[in-house]
Amino acid sequence: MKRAEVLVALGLLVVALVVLSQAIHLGPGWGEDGPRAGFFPFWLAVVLGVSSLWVLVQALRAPGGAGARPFFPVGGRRLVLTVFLPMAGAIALLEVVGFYIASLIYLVIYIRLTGRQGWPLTLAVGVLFPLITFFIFERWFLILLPKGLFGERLLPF
Amino acid sequence: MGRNSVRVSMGLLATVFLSVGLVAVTTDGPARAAWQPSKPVEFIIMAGQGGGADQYARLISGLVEKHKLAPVPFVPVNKDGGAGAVAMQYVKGKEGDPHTIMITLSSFLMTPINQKLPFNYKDYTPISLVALDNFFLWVHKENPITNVREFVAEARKRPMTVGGTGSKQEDELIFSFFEQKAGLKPFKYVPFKGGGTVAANLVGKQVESTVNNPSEALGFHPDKVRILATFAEKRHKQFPDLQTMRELGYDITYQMLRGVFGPPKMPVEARDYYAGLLRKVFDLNDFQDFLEKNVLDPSFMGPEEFGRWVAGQHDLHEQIIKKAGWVK
Amino acid sequence: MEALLNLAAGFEIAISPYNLLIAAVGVFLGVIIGVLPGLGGTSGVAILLPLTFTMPPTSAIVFLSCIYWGALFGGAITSILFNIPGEPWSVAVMFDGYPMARGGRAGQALALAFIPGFLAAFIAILLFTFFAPPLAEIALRFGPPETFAILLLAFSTFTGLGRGSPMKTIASAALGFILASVGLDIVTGQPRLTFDVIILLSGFSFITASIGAFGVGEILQSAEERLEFRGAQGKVGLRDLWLTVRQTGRCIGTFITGTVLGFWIGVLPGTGATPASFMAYGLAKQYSRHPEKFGSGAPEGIISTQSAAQSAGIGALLPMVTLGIPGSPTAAVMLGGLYIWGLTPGPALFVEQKDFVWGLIASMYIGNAMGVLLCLFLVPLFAAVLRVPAPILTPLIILLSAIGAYAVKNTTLDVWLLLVFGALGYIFKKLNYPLAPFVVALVLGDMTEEALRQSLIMSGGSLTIFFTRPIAAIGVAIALVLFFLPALAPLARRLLRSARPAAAPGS
Repeated sequence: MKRAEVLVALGLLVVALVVLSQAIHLGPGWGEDGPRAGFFPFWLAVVLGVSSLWVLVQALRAPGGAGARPFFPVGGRRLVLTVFLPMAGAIALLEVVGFYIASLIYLVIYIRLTGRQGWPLTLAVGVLFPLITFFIFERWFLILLPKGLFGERLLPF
Repeated sequence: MGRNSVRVSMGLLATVFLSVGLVAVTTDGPARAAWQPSKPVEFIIMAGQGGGADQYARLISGLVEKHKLAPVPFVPVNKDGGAGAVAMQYVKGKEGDPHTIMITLSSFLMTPINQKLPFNYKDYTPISLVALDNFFLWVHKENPITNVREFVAEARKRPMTVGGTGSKQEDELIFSFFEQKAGLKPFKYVPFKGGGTVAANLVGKQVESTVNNPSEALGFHPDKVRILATFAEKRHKQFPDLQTMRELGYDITYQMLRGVFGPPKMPVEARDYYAGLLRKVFDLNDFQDFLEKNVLDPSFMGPEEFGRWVAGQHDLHEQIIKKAGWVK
Repeated sequence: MEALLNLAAGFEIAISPYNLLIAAVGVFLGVIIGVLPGLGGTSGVAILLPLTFTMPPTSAIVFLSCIYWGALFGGAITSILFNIPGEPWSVAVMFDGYPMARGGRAGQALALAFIPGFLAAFIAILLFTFFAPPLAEIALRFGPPETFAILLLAFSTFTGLGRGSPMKTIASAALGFILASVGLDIVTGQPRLTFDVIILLSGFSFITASIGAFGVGEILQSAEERLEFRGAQGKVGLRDLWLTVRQTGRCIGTFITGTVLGFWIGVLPGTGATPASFMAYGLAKQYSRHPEKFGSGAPEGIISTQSAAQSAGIGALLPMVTLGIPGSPTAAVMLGGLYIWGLTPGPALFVEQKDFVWGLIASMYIGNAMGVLLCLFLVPLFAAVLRVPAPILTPLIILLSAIGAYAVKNTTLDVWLLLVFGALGYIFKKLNYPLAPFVVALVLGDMTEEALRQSLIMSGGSLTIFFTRPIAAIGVAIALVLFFLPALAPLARRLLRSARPAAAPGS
C-alpha cells in the first residue's frame, strides 16, 4: 500500500510539473482583459503539486513494513489482470479488425478461458452480441462503430 | 391532419426501422459507367450536434432518404473539437475513400491557418458548394444606434462590446475585418459556444452587437433586435431595403461556405456522383424553401468551380487573419 | 386562465390517436437510447430528426421531445445498474444509485429515480405551462457574470464532497480541472496542454472519464474482490412505489430544491441538465442530516440528482420555445428541426403557432407519464440483467462502455482512454482519492473558466463586474460564504468559546 501511495503521489507530482512548464509557456499571468490562457493551468498545477507533495510526505512518514495492508489482496493482482489485459487486447484488436470482430474474439476468449463457461453459451453470447449491436447501432440508429484497418473487408455484410 | 400524412409518416418510420437493414448491397464490381456508393456513406460534420453545419448535413441526408436519391443511407457523423481540426485530420486519413464526405464551414479554411496544422484546403477534394450563409450586423432594438454610420462613429470613440461564436472564427474575423476597414477601436470581443447563445446575449443586452447568421436571430426581429446591414455582396430579396456594407461605403463582404469536400485523392467518378447528387438535393423545393427562410444565398458550384472559389477564399481569410495579428 | 384554455386545446391535439402513437414510439425509443451508452438523448434526437421531415410540425416536436423524456428516464437505468452513465446527466445518479443497487436494492434505487424524477418533471411542466414567457425574460438577464456566480455556487456546495484526506480531495479536483483545460482555449483559440497532438485539440470528455473511472474502475475492483451482485431484488410492487413516494415525502426539501434548481438551470441558456444534476447533488449533501451516507446509497442522492436532471430537461425547452434559444445541446438539435419543419422560433411562435406550442406542452404531460409507467414496468426486466453471471456480464459491460466512449467523439482514442481512466479509477479508489470531485471538476471546469473570462472581457479585466451586477453579486457573496464556512465555523466557535470565559467574570 505504501509503495502504491508513494508512486501515485509521485505520478501526480510529475503531471503537475509538466502542466506547470506548459502553463508558463502559454502565459500564466493576468492580461489586459483577464487571465491569459495559461493562468488557470498554472495555478491548478501549483495546487496539484502542493497537494501531491503533501500526500507524498505523509505516505513516506507513515509506518510501512509487514503490518501494512498490501495494495493487492492475496491473488488480487492476477484477478485484476485477467480483466484488464483482455480488455486492453480487445481494444488493440479493435484498431485492426474493427469493433464487431474484436468483440466476437474477446467475448469467446474471455467467457471460455476466464469465465470457464461451456462452449454453447460462449458461442451464443460471442456471436449474438456483435450481431445485435450491429443492427442496433449500425443499421437502426446509424452510428458507425470503428471498423479498424481491415474490419471493412472482413465483415460478410 | 390528413390521414394521408399519417400513412406517409408511419410508412417512413417503418421503412427506416425495418428496411435500412436490408439496403446495403455489395456490388463492388469493376467501375461501370455510373459509379454508385455500395455501403453507407459517412457524412462527416466539422462541428457538434445542433450547430449550423450539423443542421445542413442532417437536412441533406434526410432529403436524400426522403426522396430516395441514393441507394445507401448518408450517415451524419459529428467530429467536433479543435475547431474542426479533428474532423479534417480524420478525413485526411481516408485518402482515396469514395464513401466519406465532409460538410464544411469557415473553420475549414481558418483552423489550419490559426493552428498551423500540417494540412489545409488543398488536401481535400472539392465536391460542391450548396449555399452561402449570410451575416447581418445586429444591435438591440433599444440601442440608440440605428444605422451603420452611427455604429461606426460610436465604435471609433470607444471599444464596443460585441459577441460571437468561438474564438478566432468567422464572427471574430468579421468584426476584425470591420475594424481594419473602418478604422475602429478594437472591439471587446466576447466568445460564446454557439450562435443561439450569442443571440441570447444580444437580446439580453449582455453585448452591444453581434454578426449572427439570420437564422439565429431573426426570431427576435423586429421586436427585440435591429438589423443594421448585411455583409452579403447583394441585397436579399427577403429584405429589399437592407443595405449591404459595401453600399454603405465599407468594403466588407463576407459569406460563409456551406460546401462539401471529399478526402484527398477521391476517385473522380465518386466525386462526380456526389456533385450530381447534391445538385439534385439543391434543386428540391424543400431545400430551396429552407434556404429562403433562413436567408441563405442559393448558389451551387460544381467541383472545378468550387475548387477555384475556395482557393480565393483561403487567400482572403489568410490576409485578414495575418492583418489581425492572430498568427505571426 | 388563458393558459388553461390553451392547454385544453393543446391536449386536444396531443391526444389524437396519431400523436399518442407518435409519443409512445418516441418515449420507447428514448428509453432505449437512454439505456444504451453511446446513444445519448442529443444524438438520439439528431439521428431520428430526419424521420420527422414528413410529419406535421406538432407531431414532429412531440416525437422528438418524447425521445428526450424517454432518454431522461432511461439514462438513470444504466447508471444505477452498471455504474456506467447512460447519459451525461446521469453521472451524478451513479454516486448513490449504484451503491444502493449493489447492496441488493436495485429495484428500490430505480424507483427512487423514476418516481421523484416524474414528479419533478410534472412540477417543471406546470411551471412551464403557466410562467414560460416571464421566466424566459428573466433568463435573458443572466449573462456570463451571473452564470459564473451560479457555477461558483455549485462548487461551493462541493467543498465537503470528499471523504477522507482533504489533500487527496484537492488533488483529485485539481486533476479534473487540469484535464478540463486541455484543448483549444475558448477565449484565445490557443491550444493548451495538447503537446502538438491534433486529436487532443478537442480535449477530454467527461463522459469517457466517468465511464472509465466509475464503470471500468468498478469492474476491476469487483474482479479483485470476486464480488457479484447480491440477489438484486428486481420486483417493484405497489408497496415499493408507496414506500418511494413516502421516502420522497421525507426528503421533500431535497426534492423541491432539486426540482426548482434543475428547472432554473435548465432555463438558463448554455447550461443544461448535466450541471443541474451535479449542483443538486452537492446541495443535497451539504444540507443533509446524514452527509456521511452520501456515496454509499443515500436515497437523497438519487432523488436530488434525478429530479434536477428531469426538471432541467423540461426547463431547457423553455427558452427554445419562447425565444428560439437552445438551453441545451438537445434543444439545439430540436431548434434545427424547427427550421426544417418551416417554423421560425422566437417570441412570435407563442402567438402565431399556438397549436404547435400548446400541443408540445400538453405532450410533455403525456410523454412523462408514459415514460414513468414504461420504466417501472421494465424494472424487473432490467434488474434481471443483474442475475446474469459475472463472467458473461463483465465483458458485455466492457464492450458497452467501449461503444459509449467511442461515440462521444467517434474516435478510438476515447476507447484507449477508457483503459487509462479505468486504471486511474481503480487506483484512486483503493488509495481513497475521492472520484466525484475529479468528475465534477472535469464537467464544470471549462464552463466556469469560460464564464469568468467572458465576464472579464466585458468588464475590461476588472473583477468589480461580479459585485456591481446585483444577481451576480448575491450569488458570488453566498458562494464565498459557503466556501469559507467550513474554515470559519470552527474559528468562530473557538472565538466564542474564548470570549465566554473572558466575559464570565464581568457578568
